[in-house]
Amino acid sequence: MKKNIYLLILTATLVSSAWSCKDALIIEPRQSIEASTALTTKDGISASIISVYSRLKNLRVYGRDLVALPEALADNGFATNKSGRLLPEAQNVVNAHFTIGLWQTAYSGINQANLILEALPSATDPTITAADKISWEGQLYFLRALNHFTLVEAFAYMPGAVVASQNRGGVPVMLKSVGTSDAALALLPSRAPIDDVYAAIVSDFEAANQRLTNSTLPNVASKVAAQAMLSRVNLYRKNYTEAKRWADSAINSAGTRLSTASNYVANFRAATNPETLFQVFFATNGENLGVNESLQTSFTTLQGVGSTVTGGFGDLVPTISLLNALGITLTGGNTNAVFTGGNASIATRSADVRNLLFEVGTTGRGLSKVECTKFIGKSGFINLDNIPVIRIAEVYLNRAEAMATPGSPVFNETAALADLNRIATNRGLTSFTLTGTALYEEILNQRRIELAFEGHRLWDLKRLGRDIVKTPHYVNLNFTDTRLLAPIPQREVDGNKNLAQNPGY
Amino acid sequence: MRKLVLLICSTLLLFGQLMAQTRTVTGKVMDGDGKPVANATVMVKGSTSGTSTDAEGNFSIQVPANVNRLVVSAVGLATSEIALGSAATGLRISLKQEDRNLEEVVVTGYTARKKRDEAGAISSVKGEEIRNLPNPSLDKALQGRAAGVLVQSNNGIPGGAINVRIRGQGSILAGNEPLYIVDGVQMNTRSDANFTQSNPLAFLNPNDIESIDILKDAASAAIYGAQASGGVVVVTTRKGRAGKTRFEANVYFGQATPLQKLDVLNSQELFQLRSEGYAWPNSLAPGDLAIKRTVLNEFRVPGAGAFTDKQADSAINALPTYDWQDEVMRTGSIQNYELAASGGNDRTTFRISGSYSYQQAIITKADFQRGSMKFDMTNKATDKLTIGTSLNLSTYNQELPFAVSGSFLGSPAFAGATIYPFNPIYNADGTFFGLPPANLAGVLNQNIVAVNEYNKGLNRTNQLVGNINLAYQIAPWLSFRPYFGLDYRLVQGKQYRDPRTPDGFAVRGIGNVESEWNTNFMTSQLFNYNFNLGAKSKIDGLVGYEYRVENQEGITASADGFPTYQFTTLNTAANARPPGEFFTGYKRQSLFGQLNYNFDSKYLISGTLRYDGSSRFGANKRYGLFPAVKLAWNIDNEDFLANARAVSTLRLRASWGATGNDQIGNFDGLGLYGGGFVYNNQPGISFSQLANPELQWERNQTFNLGVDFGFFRNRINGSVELYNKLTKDLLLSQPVQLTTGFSSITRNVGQVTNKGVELTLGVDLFKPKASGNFGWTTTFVFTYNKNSVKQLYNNLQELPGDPSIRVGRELGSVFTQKYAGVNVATGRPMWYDTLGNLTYQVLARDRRYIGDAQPNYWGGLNNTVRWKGFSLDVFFQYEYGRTITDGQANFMLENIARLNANKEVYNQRWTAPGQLTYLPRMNVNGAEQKGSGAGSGSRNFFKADYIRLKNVTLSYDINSEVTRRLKINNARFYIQGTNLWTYSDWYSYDIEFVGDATGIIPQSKNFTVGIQFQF
Repeated sequence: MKKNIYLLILTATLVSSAWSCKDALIIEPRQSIEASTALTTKDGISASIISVYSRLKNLRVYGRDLVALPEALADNGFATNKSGRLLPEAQNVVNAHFTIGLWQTAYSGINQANLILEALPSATDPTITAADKISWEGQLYFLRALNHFTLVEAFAYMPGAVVASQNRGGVPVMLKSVGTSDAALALLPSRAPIDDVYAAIVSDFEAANQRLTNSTLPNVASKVAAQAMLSRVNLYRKNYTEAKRWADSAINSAGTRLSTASNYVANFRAATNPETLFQVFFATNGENLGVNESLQTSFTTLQGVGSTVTGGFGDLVPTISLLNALGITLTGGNTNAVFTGGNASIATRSADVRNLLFEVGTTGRGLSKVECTKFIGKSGFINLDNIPVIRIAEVYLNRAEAMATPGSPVFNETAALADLNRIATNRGLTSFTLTGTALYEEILNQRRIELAFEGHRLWDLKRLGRDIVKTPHYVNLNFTDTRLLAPIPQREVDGNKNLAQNPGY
Repeated sequence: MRKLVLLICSTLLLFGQLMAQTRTVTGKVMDGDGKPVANATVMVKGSTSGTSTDAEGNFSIQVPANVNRLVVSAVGLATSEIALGSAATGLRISLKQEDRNLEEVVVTGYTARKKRDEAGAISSVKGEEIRNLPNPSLDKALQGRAAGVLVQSNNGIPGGAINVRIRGQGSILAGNEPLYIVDGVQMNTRSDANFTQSNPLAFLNPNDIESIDILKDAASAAIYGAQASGGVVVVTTRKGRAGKTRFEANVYFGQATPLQKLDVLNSQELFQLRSEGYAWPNSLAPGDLAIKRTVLNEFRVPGAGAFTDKQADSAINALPTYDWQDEVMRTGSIQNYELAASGGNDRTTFRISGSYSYQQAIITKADFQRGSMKFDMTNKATDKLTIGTSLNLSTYNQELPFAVSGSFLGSPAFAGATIYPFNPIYNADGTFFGLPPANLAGVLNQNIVAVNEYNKGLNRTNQLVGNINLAYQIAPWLSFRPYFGLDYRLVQGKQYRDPRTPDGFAVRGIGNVESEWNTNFMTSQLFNYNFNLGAKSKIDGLVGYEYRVENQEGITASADGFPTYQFTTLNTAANARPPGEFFTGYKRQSLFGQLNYNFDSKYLISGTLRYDGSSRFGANKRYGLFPAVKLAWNIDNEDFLANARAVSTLRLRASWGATGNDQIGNFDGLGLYGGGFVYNNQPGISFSQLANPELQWERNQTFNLGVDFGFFRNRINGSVELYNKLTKDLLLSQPVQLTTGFSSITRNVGQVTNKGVELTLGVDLFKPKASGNFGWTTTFVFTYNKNSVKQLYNNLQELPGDPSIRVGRELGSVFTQKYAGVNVATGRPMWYDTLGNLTYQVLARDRRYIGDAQPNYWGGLNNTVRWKGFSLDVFFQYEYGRTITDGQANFMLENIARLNANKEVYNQRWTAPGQLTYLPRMNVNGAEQKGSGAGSGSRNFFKADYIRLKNVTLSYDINSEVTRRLKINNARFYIQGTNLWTYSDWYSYDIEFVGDATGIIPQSKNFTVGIQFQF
């Protein structure tokens, strides 16, 4: 019996010691770290900033949507239905628009930027220098501004081009971080007025400009990139004085980067176009966006430069009106309204070197079309391309438009014409001699050609309040049509009474 | 000290007996019908010596002169004690049939109890019921056999995932899987394979199963506390019995054939649809020459651009049609071989079994190949100490097709039916047509037969499930039972994208490998007690401690650039891709106890308490308490029913209990920064999860009322259960505004209820009067379950972002726009808007409740007919009340003709004004201008009710002179068929699936023949 008592005591002791052991239920994750320790070291902070850049690569951000959708939704893109992708967008089907992915990724980038900005003053790691902090702040302000900007472009009207009865404001502006469950549960933001959102964006880009220096590579935020973005944002909000002033600064900072007619194609075929002031960079093939939705597969069936092998789907190709603007005439293809019953073939090309980036694709996925080959695996692997956010050519066009817009405080047709011709002559065209509306319209036309398939067209029509002419491919989309604006994600509206949905959804 | 003296004395006594003189006793053992019982165990009472009967039931045994009792036992029969008179030869011993139902033993978790002593809602499935069914994993075999248990195949991958729900779905975020326990080892049922589905329960050869007991009510399951909210499935494997060593061999083989081929179009029909698709949106006639040229061009007819009308027509007529489905489908082979040996003496019993099983799916090249070995041993080391072990080693290999599901160009089940049929499969010389750099015409431009043939994939799972258990009798009323269990699993996958196929062509082949290992260790230390409080009251129960830890780790590697297609190992490749590694794990510890009180076998009362801790929860809420109470009244034991002839069994049961659910991510309560970001050649980290220190169990409370009945000597028997299961503090990914930078926080909010009725009814329609006479037994299983979301948070009626979860409706509600058919004049699809008016363009506000994806009624019907040596089992299962959508069908009902379509489209599409039909006109753009896509809203949701003849088995017991001479005790020959007939109309491969059916490997119709020997 004694033996049994010992046994009982032993078992009881073992169990109670196991029970009271503090580690009994502790197990640490290994792919993640405790949140409170993340922003205390130099490496932790710089790695956190990397994640904010990294989000720009997302397919729903610059990875595809911010480049392809402004072309498909507007009058530059015709959907071939080879994989079925981008067809609803090209047809302006309700809800086929920018999605929750953009909203979510951009706001999570903004919050991560806010978390770091708030942690920086108290970061005590002795290896962090004052210069580190200034550079980090500059990059974070730039990224926060860029994310707010992409959101307000997609989900709201643009300043000075508003259908008042359908205006529900801009987007929520997030300048403070959310770091706890309680804060996250409590946050039910409303949409800030459009002008306030743009003011916040300008303020952030200006703060970035103050802190950043010029870097040699456009892969991270730099002073010139901030200045160039300020010229665009101010042009969009119709502050022409500021648009011109920042364009001047950017052009000054950039130096001679504009390609010439002779090296335009080669520069565009390089992994990094020398004209680029800021791009979303894809360093390794591990970051490849893949065969279904990358920009290469979206825009072309060609597997590579000079290849006739079928690679991608070629889901979105230029419309007849864009091809005409580019100086390309066809003997077939590119529209479903005219049945010539054949594959695309180019009859003639103008001297505009920009049309050399538009080529006949393969028949590997159905009838061939003329396709845009601005994205064609330039970083050494199929479907791997850096994605330009802003190029110097645009800055010239921003300045030209700021000076040629009727009623602009910096109205100067001569200077505007000079900027226009700087673009034209470097693209194989002869100089224009235009004034008034003709000059203004030609600047817009050159902007359409210069920035075709780079994700600008919808914004340029929307900010000027213009109707979108989609015939002969599709039905036109008037400026007052509610499908112009993206739907605010349903789950956001469902969970937040303060957040107004755009009309028509 | 007194005990020691006693021990010595008794040992001496025993010794004395052995020295005593013996005599020979002979006899014959028979069952109630007078049929000889082979392999019955005959023991000398109070000793260690015994023997077993031969095929004729005869035995001969040496019995000490001073002993006058024998103990005789046999499987399925009641044990009997025989007094030896003076005549000790030629004894005729008759063993009574065990009462089929209530004398059965149920394994209720840590203990086995007589069903009559148990007050919970427990369904049992005996091993014999599911023996030889060609199912790789045991969960599949439960389908339709236990009331309240819903079993649905995700697909037909042999060894693939099975969806099991006991009494409905209670949880939204957390898992709803039951806890599986195999011989005490708490299994982890997660599929760890990346390249296919691998079901961890496939490690066990289902023929090694003795019984499966399903603890359905929370009161029964509460002994497993926080893991038990999905119910508990207790699997007991077959063990050895004392007696002569017995061998059992079993072989079956057969084939699997497709349930159905999909009815697709020929090339001319497809041409017609595609032409209409161009014609209508462009206001042209389908026969317009420009359209013919365009479509012929798409179909890659050379020179089509310049064809005349006549040339075009003859080209259309000349289009060939190839049957791609035939090439990706096959008749699969099924083989199974088993050998087992079992036996032992009164001190040691053992069972050893080995099996090999091979099964091919009907889609190339999915298959399943398993080898398993099982060893069970129990030894009475001393009178007080028993040690035992059970070890199961198994390895199973699954060969993989290019993809096991999904709308991949290379997914055989998807693309085989949908490739443009005029594409040839082979060139004239027998080589594959359309390999890169060439391709096929159409969106599906890969030669799926070549892709499937050339690409390689293999998944191997090595699994060890075993335990060591001890039992030490501390006192007659108290025993101590330490238990150690291990479930170790290594999953290795390899996938090779051949450079001759499109995916591998540009990069010269891609190789991927993965290894994942999972160590799941547990121990429990139990004290069992039982004593009598006077003549009529008994108390028994247990107290225990349990600890479980599980770690899961894995690595992945991949490379591309192989020299030739013959090289597939990564070290031969030119470019290594970034490797991957991960780790996760959790720990649990618990204290628990149970107390059962039994008064005169009339009134039973039982209580359970478990205190559970899990590492998965917030720092402030790691531990939870789970109580349960059960009551039963065995009315048939009351005096007033003693003489009631009609009523043979009548029991009333009631129980209430609480269980928990912790089936969430291992680290869901922590605030975390995670990696996985890369930019500019640098790694990035980000705030990935907000902390919730208050995160705790989801609680499940079930009230259960049950009646067991048996009338006319149990010729009509069964049980009825009523339950009401309330799940509260629901584990939910509560959405937060995305503007916060986060999408959700795991919190405890909301409530879900499941209310239901379960009926099990067995009737002996013909009870054989004598052995071999005609007998017919039928068993009907019926379940009704009503699932309802009771509450969410912040008074929301719908979960933001997930309209399928709404207050007052079932989980998995279909909430969408109602399809209104086709505009008779234009052929455009229409829907109802929020006001009930017709609209071409659907909006979020137009959505309404259409149905839900959960069945309301399901169950099975089994009939067993016996006559002489023949036995016929016919088993039906049924399901009613699901509204689901089938991805494969949706693609094939499109109005675009970008893929080959279902014949239904050809037959029902709108073709001319005035035509009343439900399928819209063709349109290559899918959506009409200013219209929504034709497949929007409820258009592709269908009712998925069915009755299926799941299984038919015909067997014959051969007991001839020949088998006797060969010393074969029992030989059985059987023929079996599965999925033989289905009552439903479904456009796609199979109605029985869960999730999205696009490109899934469907189930098959199986035929097997087999033979089984015992010797």
